[in-house]
Amino acid sequence: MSHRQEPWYITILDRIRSSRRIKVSLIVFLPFIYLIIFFFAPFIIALMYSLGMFKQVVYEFVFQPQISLEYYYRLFQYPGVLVAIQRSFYYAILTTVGTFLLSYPVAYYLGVKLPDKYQEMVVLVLFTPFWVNFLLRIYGMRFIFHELGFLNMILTTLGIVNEPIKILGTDTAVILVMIYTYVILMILPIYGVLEKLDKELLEAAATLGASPVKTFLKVTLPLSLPGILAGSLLVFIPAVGEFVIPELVGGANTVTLGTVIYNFFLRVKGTMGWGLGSAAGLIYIGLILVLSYLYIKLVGGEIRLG
Amino acid sequence: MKITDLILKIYTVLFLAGIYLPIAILIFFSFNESRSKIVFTGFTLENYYSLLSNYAVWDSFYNSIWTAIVVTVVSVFLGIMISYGVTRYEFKGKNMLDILMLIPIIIPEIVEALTLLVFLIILGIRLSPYTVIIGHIAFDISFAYIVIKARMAGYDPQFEEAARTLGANEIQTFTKVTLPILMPGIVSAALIAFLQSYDDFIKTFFTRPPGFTTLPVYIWNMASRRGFALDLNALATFIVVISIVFAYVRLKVERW
Amino acid sequence: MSYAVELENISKSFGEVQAVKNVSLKIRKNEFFSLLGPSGCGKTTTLRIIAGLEFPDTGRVMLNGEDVTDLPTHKRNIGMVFQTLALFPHMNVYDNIAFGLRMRKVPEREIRQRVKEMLEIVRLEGFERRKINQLSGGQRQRVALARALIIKPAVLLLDEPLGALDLKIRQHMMVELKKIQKEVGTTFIYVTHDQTEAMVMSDRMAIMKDGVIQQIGSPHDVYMRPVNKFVALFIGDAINFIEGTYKDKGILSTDLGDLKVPQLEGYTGKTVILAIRPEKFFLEKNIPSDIDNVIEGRVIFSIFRGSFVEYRVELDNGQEMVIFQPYLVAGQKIYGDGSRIKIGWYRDSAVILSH
Ligand SMILES: Nc1ncnc2c1ncn2[C@@H]1O[C@H](COP(=O)(O)OP(=O)(O)O)[C@@H](O)[C@H]1O
Ligand SMILES: [Mg+2]
Repeated sequence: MSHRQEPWYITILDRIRSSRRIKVSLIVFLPFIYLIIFFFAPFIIALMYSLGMFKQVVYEFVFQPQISLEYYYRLFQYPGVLVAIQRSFYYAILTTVGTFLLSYPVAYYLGVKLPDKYQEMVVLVLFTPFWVNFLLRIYGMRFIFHELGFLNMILTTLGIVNEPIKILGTDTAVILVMIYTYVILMILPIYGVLEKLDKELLEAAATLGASPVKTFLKVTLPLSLPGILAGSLLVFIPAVGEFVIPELVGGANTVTLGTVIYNFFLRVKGTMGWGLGSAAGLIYIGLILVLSYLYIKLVGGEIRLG
Repeated sequence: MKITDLILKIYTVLFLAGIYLPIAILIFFSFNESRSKIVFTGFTLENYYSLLSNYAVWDSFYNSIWTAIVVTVVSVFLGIMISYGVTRYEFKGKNMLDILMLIPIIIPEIVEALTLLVFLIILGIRLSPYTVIIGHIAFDISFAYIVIKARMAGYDPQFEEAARTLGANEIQTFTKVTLPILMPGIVSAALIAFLQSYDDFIKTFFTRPPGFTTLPVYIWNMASRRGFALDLNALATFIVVISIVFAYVRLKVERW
Repeated sequence: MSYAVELENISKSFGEVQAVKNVSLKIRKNEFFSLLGPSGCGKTTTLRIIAGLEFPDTGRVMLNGEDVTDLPTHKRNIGMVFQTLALFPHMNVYDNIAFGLRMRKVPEREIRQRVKEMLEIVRLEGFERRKINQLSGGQRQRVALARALIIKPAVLLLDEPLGALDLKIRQHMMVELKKIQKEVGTTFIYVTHDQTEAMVMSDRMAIMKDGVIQQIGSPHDVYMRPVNKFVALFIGDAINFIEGTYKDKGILSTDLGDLKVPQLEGYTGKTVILAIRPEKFFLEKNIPSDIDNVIEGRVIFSIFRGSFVEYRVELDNGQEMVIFQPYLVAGQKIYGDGSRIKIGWYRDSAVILSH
């Protein structure tokens, strides 16, 4: 058998192939460096910045080896910040509970009851609106909540209220729109779990004498727990930092942590704004990490995404 | 059918109607004559004409598209590399890497955005369309990675070995076997990456230079004013149509 | 004579696991050779070393007398049928089979001709345009075979290719594979954990355990003259062991008394195992007059197996024996449970195994 002559690039490839180390570094770690530089490093830099480790000299920032909590201290002195943080958690908790209550029956119906042949179509119907830019959907909600809008029209026609009520600018509007915006993140993982659920398990429970209610409480619900857990985190984490919705449908009394960050960065600006904003952002991340950890510990199970 | 099933079914239908309602109302009012009141006063196509001649909309649409294309190409390319390496090789720190790759998806965008902005400021990098692109790639790599990795999980490495025994060298194996088999996953990843970038508001908003507007930023500018801008309703119709096409194409790719 | 494949002292470890230990093999041209052994014994690894999909830590691999130890797979001219078949899902039957020829830049016209011939050999005429997922298990098997054979490989490697098939189709494919091998005259190296497959198809086979080759030989040899207990147990449906001490002149002293056994040199005084296949026994009236050994036992139960009857017999020392008796005549006597019977066998029907 004769050895075929190969072009030069094959020779180089042969050499690379013979070293697993080189191959893995090229394929995995080279692209990963991108994330290190443009994702992970910025976190470190922002953390350092919030701890006063950079000082502005004319147009440049120079590193100074010190740790100062000044930005954090000032942040909490800032009027309204504490209230805003509290409010953010209040909104996020209500949003998480609301999306869960609203979406579980839907996920259950789609995942357990709906015949397989309709799955594809219904899932398409369910997801399509969420491909429309969320700002537009929120803007659409303004038409519904407006004093002369759809909701008030129904409420007055049905005689539930006499006068159109004011919804826009209130907590109610913010929470309802948040639920509407985030609900898909809750449905997705719960549906994912329920759809994969072995339907024979439910039949098995029935043959063992469990009533439908018992079966649901003892089998279906516990088994969908990983999905509920994942959904709750997927909703809760970004909900705490929400600033778009309070800006678009809220008012002066719906300032949140997200709004605070947004204001420091894009309205106040300058070293002080960026410092306070970074401090607020890092507090946000810190709280999220602690709470997610506790939540997972408490409810147990692993998070599954997608 | 049992009564509980019926109730569930009705509820699900109402739910679906509910999530379509804001979009339906947007489209409905795009045909409204009155530009000041939220009452339907008469049918007109005026809003569409004014949309067509709205230079700012088309400029931001153009910006959204070209940045998203650059972002998609780069992040899918990098995502393929990482997911290929992770599924194909054993190496130290692999589990760690897998978790780190999830972080850009889990971290709230506003934090990502602000840290990147601080980073750019400290390094003295001037904001430009490219800083927006850099920011988008950082989260899109993760999306591409997850989608392609899911596809690769069901991919038999023996396909490649079979090609090798049949006389294909590494390049031929990759172009004739690996790539075509993974194509559906790659297209699906590209669609998601594109959409994430094209639709992004927060990170763009923080890292864009003044005057650089993408479609979501334009929408924000219009929507964050008090009152209603019916151009936006006409634009919504346009975007809804694009989104439906997108969702449909994505579904087709998934079932490929 | 040059061999199709020679392995010289091949060893291969994966971290702690030593998958292949000092394996040497010489496989003749046009031979149907099987690598047989329990799962995890290193068969696949050995095969992949021949293919160049793994590289040995030590030792040499020779194909047709040429050292290919360091040659990458695609330059070795071997064909391989994988356990998962690994048919390309994005190509139809024709393109799958043509793949190897296209890599070799064979003109399309010749490819068409050769694919046609190959499809005839594997009996898949008319399936050219089928997608892989439109084929049955047996048909996929044939496509994988055709794809590997069309490049006229020096040797065809098959890794448990029938594993996923139903029993009936598997039996059919065994014969089919043997026929195709005769027809194309290529060396086949066939990996399996199923001794029936190896027995049915092989000219010769190697039996492996824990990365070590235990015995190499024809199906007849390994069945009739296993070299150790492991091979004796692995090959065939069942086997009986009797322990004893070897006395001089072909006599084994056991707790059933002295038994006549094959006459061997150098075993005197050693404790050995006598191995007897279940079909080597004669019962009662059928015992020939010149028989070497006769012992007694009690039937525990019998199983009617169609072409033969299987008896479980308890000997006087409490040991249980498996005995097969051919079922030749309708109404032939079957000894009832509990009946005492005489059991006889010739000394050369048994094999002496060292401990
Ligand atoms: N790539 C690998 N990495 C680590 N261990 C392996 C690898 N391939 C095989 N092994 C180990 O080597 C031994 C032999 O495996 P294999 O050759 O596949 O056995 P067989 O094909 O006989 O079932 C097994 O213990 C297996 O776990
Ligand atoms: Mg194997």
